[in-house]
Amino acid sequence: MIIMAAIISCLLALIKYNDARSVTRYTLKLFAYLVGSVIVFSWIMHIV
Amino acid sequence: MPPSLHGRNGVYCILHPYIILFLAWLIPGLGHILQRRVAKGIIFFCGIALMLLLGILMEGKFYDTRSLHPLLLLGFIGDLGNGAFFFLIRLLGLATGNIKNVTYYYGTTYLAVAGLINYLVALNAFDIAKGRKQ
Repeated sequence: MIIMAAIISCLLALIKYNDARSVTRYTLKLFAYLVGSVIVFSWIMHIV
Repeated sequence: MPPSLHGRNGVYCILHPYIILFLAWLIPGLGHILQRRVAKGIIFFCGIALMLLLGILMEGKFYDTRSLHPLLLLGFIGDLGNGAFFFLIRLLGLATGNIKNVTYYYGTTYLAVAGLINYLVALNAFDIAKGRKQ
């Protein structure tokens, strides 16, 4: 899952932005959102 | 506008934007490479090829149209986004899937997501060719 999140966030950032700084920032942000949301939803499914 | 002047933002391409769209769908990243965005095109190609390779190694499966279930058809459309890779993998009989494998569903998801990402990459190449995006 982490590998997929890393690849997807990198590719989507490259689609959206052109300069390296924006690509890096958006990649990290998207990666954090993807991994964070998986952890949160997994935890919710665990307790329900 | 003659075909040689398609594309703005200082980038000229001989091909029509719809041909760029088709080629970008057929081979991931080719649409960007044809518009002199070689580094981006190579990264897109490698990223999508890596996802497909991981999907095959995890023994995932391409969705098929035998059952005609709407959700499975959506999965098939996602898989179709892989362009030439889709036909090549099917021809070689690689993504047949092994449901007994723990990573089967992960592999199937990898294969479908690679196709969906390629749709976005192809649309981005089309937008660049149209001059809507830099």
